[in-house]
Amino acid sequence: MKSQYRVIILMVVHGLIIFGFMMSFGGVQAQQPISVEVTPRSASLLVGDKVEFSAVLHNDGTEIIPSLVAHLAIASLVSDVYVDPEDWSSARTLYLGSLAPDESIEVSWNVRVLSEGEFAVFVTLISEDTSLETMAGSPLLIHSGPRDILPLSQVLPLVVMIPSILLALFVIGFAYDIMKRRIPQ
Amino acid sequence: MNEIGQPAWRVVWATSMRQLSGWKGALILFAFSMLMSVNTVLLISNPELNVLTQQQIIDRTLHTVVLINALIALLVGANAFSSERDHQSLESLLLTPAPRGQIAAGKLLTALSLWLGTSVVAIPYVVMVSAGTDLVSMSVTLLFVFGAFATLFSCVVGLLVSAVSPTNAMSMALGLLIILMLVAPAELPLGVRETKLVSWITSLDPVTAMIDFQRAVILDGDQWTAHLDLFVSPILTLILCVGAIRYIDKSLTLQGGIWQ
Repeated sequence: MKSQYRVIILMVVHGLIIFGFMMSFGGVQAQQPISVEVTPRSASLLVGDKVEFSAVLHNDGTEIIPSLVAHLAIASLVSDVYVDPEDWSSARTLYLGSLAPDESIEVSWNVRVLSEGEFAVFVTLISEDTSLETMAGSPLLIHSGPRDILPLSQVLPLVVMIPSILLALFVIGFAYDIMKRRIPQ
Repeated sequence: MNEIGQPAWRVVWATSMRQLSGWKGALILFAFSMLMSVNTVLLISNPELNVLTQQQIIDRTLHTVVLINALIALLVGANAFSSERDHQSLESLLLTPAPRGQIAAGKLLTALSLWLGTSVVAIPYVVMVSAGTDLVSMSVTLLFVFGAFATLFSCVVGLLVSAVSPTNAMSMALGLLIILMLVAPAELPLGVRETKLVSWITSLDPVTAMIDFQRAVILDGDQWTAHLDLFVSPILTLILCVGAIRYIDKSLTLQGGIWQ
């Protein structure tokens, strides 16, 4: 009998814990009054390519969000690849002003891929008065490969040959000039 | 060759070209080709620069050729009269019956001849970097059109400065300063270039107008006919260049100076 009570008590406790977790997650979701719709969601690019990343921010809440700030963040998903977001996109922080309930605003950035690897580009949101809990939108996943438009092996013969021909002409002309001066007319 | 009876510009040009023929000309072209080879290899292989698209590589290659040619032309022009002053040989030149404008025209032709040589050497580089795109013929056309304009303009700036400068050093310094001032707006960051004052200056500046034209056609893929307005400033400048030659014809003096 005692063990039955213990099982019931444990089930209730577990249930309460799970309910608590669900409520707390539900609570966080409920505290996010903005939904973020980003396009595109993924891109396969070459180093040096540009992609336009845009996000539609919609106020799902019932209150005005004052002084919304959208900031573009870029992270490498590979540990040994460094990203300096300043080089990838300029003017990453946008000050959008207030956003009324059920109102939407579209923001966009031009992002230029400067390294090979896997990257996540996402928008983070905060309000100037920090009343809005900081949140991030879904990421744009970028896979970037090497740019090899002009292989060096194809270029090298020409870049060596042209100066060589001109050097030969210079040497021949110089030698001819010296010989002409030495031989009396 | 008997030079009697030939126009003065032809004599000046032939004399200058005789000095450049043979190994001296080959040496200049060799140095130019070395610079182009290093530039091309760097643009293609340097990991810090390999973010460039092929259009950007074409644009930078054309830029390099045109700037080198402009500098050579400037040096030829800036050296024209002031070096004669430094060597005290200008007096004898001025005492000849040759019109001074024709002397200037002869020097101008020398600069153009050098430009032609370097441009011919540059063709394989430009064709190589633009291979596989539909920009090959446009790049070669720009190499010659933009190059001819920049060469003429730089040489005339050099000639003018040389005509008024009392010493060669002053002439070179002034000429370089003027060219740098004209090229500088094109190198400003995009945000600064979009400001009203700077965009007004760049549309008036013939060098930046041509650079903008090149960028629009090569980088943005625009039709060349869509940017004909950018030719107004360079054409006006070329007309001013003719005026400059006339000014030299009338006002070149032994000591230099503007108002003598």
